[in-house]
Amino acid sequence: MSMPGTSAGLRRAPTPQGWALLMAAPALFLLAVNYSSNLVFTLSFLVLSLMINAGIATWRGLDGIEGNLAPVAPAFAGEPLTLTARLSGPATRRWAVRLRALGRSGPPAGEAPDARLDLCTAGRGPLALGIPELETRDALGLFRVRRALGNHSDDAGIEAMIWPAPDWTAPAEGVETGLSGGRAWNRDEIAGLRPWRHGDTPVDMAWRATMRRGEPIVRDYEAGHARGARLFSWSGVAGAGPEAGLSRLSAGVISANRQGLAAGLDLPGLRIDPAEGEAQLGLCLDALARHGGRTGRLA
Amino acid sequence: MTLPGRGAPRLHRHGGPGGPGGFYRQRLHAACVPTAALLILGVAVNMLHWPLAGTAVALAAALVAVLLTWRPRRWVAPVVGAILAAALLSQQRWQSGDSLTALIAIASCLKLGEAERSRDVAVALVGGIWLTALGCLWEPGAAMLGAVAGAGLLLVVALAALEGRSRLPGALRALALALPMTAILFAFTPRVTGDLGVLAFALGLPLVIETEVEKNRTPIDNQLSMGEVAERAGTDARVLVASFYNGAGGIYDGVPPLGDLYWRGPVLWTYQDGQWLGRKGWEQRGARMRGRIRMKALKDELREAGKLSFYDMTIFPHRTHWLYAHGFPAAVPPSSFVSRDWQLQNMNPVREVLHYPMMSWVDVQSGVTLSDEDRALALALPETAEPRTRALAAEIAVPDDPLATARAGVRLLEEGYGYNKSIRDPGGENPVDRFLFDIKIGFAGHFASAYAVLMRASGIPARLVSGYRGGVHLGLTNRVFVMEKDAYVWTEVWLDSHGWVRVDPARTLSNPRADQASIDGFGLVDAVEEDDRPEEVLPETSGAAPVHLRIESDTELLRGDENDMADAGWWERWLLDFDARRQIEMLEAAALEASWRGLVLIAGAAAAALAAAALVVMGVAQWIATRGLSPAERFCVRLERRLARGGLVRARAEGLQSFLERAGHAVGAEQAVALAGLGPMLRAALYGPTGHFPTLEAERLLRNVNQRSIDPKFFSILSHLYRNRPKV
Repeated sequence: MSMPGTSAGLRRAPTPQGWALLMAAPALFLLAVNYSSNLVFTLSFLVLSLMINAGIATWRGLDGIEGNLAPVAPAFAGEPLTLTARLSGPATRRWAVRLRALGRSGPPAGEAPDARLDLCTAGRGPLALGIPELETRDALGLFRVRRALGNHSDDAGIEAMIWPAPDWTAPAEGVETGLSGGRAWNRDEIAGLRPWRHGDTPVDMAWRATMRRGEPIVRDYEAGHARGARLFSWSGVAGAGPEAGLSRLSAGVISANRQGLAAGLDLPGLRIDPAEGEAQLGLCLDALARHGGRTGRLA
Repeated sequence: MTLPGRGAPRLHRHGGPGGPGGFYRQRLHAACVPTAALLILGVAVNMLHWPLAGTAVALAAALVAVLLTWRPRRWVAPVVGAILAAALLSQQRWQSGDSLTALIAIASCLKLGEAERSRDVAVALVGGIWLTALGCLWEPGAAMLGAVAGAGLLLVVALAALEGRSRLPGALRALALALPMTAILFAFTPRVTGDLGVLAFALGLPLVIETEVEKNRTPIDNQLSMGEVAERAGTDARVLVASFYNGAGGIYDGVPPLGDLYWRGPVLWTYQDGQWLGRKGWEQRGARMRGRIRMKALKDELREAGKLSFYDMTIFPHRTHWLYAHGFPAAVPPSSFVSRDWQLQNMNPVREVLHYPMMSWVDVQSGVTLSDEDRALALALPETAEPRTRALAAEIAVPDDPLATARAGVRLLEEGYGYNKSIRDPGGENPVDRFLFDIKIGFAGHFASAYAVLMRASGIPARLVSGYRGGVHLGLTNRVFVMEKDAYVWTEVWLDSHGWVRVDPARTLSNPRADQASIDGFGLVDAVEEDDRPEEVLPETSGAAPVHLRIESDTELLRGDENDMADAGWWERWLLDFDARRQIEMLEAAALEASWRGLVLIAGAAAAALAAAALVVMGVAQWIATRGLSPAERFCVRLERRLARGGLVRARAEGLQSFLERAGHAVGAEQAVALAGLGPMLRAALYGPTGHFPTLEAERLLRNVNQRSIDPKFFSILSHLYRNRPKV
């Protein structure tokens, strides 16, 4: 019977530092033999002993360690895509465990309950992350042991979405497609104050309230108002170039969502009718990310 | 859904933790400090021996490295590296050891300067270790021992810094654990004397092409000048490998003392124009064959037999006829013969590697009669040659006492003469006069030649024997490797009462320690091991028993060595001077055979002792941690620890019963029932009124609780415990 965390699938190997010393140790030994130098013998045996100790320490480094990968939240291009795995197992081993994906390792979990990996994104689109792994090393970082997270033996791995980075300098102006209820929204009527959110322009800042409360406060025109519906069309941003246009559309959709408006997209070959809510926002941003069949890129 | 906004942190282009951004960069910088210190240490231990240019260049490289670490610029490292390397190489030879070391220093420093990844730092670290190791070859001593310790510590600190500051205690613990293992490896790894080339040849590895061996060899010949041996002794060309057999009774056991291994080659009879020549006409095969001696006659030449030494010989090509044997040949290899003066010769020149079994008499007195022809030959001196030596011979000669005369000659050479391998031929008309009265420093050829002339001038027949002495004994093997640098010349004098007696006037003066001190920093020193038997065998005047003519001076020399060793610290005796001989002593002290097997046995015993000590320490630590706890509490701790090894860790606020149930779920349905059943037992013991805990049963139970399999008895014991549980 096998226990969780002790199953097969462990991959043990020296790290680059380990390889360097692994090659240096026999070379030092030959140097010592050639010149009958006891001091060089000492040095080579010390390096060799460190390697042996590191190998022994790493051998069972992931025994008893389990990790549950949290769903990977989408990220905007240029911003970190964060992978998080909740760890369980002996604390003495857990604190050195890192999360690893796409050939990059996160920092050791330390005393935190999660191992975290921040990947710097560069281009929009779906990004295949493969099968993330847990990795641990000995104190000297000479050997590492890895194991795939979860039971991914039949899977192609997980996928994360990288949305186009919103261009807040020139968000797309959607076309109003009609009222969804109540009276028309009038921007001149201030309904109240609320904390600042991304997408709010400096014009809307309520400076006096900001100074009084010590946090950015903006005027709220939405509260109590009837919702409108906006359709963001590719034709409206076509002159800006494909990626810049997608960034503007991204900013427009997000802005509309934050203002409580129903937002939709009209892209070549794809139309998403306006609707409200986070799910609709995700749908729109996903559609923008997948536009043109591009895949995500890391920096 | 939380949307990342404009304020989200932007990472380095290389992808944050996986690349050199954020915390990774910080760790890289943290590791650069000890790495730079290691490189500086490596440069420091070498720079004392470098010329000024090398030192300046290496320091410049270190400076650039520090600047680059501070402010990285990609193009700086290769450009500066190329300039520094060019500057260095313009000052030194390409292939010199100094150039190599300085280039390693430059490359490592610049690599550290442009380090962007952990592997760059690792390369610089290895460079630092190499520099330290090369520095150790210059002058092993207390300072270098400190350098090695410092290098190990800096290596560990740098590696730990790459992993994060929090790992430093663990890294130091790893270093502490590595030290005993290092000691075991150091003490019990079989030591083999000699360089890798020697080892490879002794093991029969075809590392060097034989034509190169031929090219490098100075062929030994039937003609010799005083300084020729010294010239030949400067080359590393391979001559022979002898593999000795172990024996008992009348057979010599293993390798004789290296100092007694005189590999006999040409015997030179004629002294003419400062040159020693072999018998006339021996260039022709017919003349050589006529001078051979049959085996039966050879045995008759023995006055007193000693022990037989058996060995296998491998001779490398040298294009002449001589084969070699130490001592007095007791057998003749195929296609060879022994001459009247006991030269072992092949029928044809040796043009390829030859293998042959051989045996020799050790500690023998040989030579029954000396023919008139040979006596005349062994006394002949050109009439006008070496006038000052002749006058000196007349002074030291003791009438009617050849042995006293011989001893006086040896004493004369011992006093006031120096030994130096680099002295070449004195040249001129009377080279022996020049050596004895002007130069007074020489190598074996000078001393042997002078002694032979002196003896002849005193009326004692003498001849020169050319060949090799000693060699390199490959530790823990019975192999002796002889190279051209072991070339040697000695004298044989005829004493009517004892036959031909070998006299080696240079033997006492050849202090190996003095030689070693003059060798360059790479320690290209072959182990010219002095023999354990310092006496030179010369017979007593009145009888057949040999007298140790030079025992006084030799024992003084050895006593000096012993005093040196007695004054040395333990680290010097057991670290710096630790070698194959000391390993053998160690094995003998443990009553084990001096072999690899013995070493492995001792190493295993030492490792077992260490493991036992570690277990004791762990046991004591556990006892300290659990003392004061009740048996049930101790059992609980152990159960939790055992389950934790399988990944089942009890949460802080988790009750024992629920933890055992959770653990049971994790390991499977059957064991879930079993483990959950333990809860009431422990609860009753821990919180019940009696506090009774069935320790023995619980121990048996605990042995079966592991991650992989549970013994079927587990369930029966569990049910037994459950049925007999105390009532709460």
